[in-house]
Amino acid sequence: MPTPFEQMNHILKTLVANTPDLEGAATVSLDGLILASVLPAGTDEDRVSAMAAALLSLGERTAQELQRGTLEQVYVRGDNGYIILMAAGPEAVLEVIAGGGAKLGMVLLDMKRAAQEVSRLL
Amino acid sequence: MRTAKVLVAGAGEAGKSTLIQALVPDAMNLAVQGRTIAMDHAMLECNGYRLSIVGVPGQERFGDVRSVLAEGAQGVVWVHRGGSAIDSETVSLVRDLTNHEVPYLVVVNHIAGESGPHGWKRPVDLPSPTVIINCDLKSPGNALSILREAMQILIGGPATFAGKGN
Repeated sequence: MPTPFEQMNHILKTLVANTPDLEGAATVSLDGLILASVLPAGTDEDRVSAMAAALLSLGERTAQELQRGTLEQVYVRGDNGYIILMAAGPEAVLEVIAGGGAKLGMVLLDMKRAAQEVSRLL
Repeated sequence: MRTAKVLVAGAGEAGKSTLIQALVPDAMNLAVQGRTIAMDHAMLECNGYRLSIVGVPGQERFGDVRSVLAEGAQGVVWVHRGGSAIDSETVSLVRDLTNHEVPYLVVVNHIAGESGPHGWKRPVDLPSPTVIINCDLKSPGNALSILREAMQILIGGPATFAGKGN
């Protein structure tokens, strides 16, 4: 029987493998610690997870401040693609990085499913 | 009105958020389980200045967040928890800022009931702080004394202010 974290790794691997242009994914605790990741070689997981938690926290507060309701996603676009964060239940964040050609509708749909699966494990 | 940015830095659980909340009770604190993970922020008006007070997360893994938040700081309040070791991450941050001639002051937070060798010792590669304040940040009035000192290092004057959280 795989542990919850092995299952989480499997969810992330499936997400990255099945979603075109997805280059990596990670789950992070709300206080910025890595839970599981499938990120490109050379990525500093500790730094990335801390930044993800900080971004999510800022996003939540900004949404509240501007009366936008409960935060659903944080979306960052750079020259080379996207970083998208989405809550995975009340205790974790799902983060993905995608290439510039990614179909965002597909990415978000697959992320939502993966986030629900991760949430059930926690 | 002129603006100035004051950075509040220090190791995790040193008392940075406590200081900012004491100055501005409705200051923004982005924290999880009591630990700041993004930032604290408050605005204060003081002697014709709008002070933007920015608290940075203390835990090591938030180094990138600290660096971003430190940009443009004109003064630093280094909160050190009495009895604990000097935090190398804060030393590095303060060194970078003092290299740009940003002044800093040190607050040694002596938390009531805690024992251990108290004090703060200047790391050899840092210039001396403008002032070292020993206090318990949870005691009323201490935060205001720190603000007065911070104003002195920024503009050479203290006194009347109004706070506003974000």
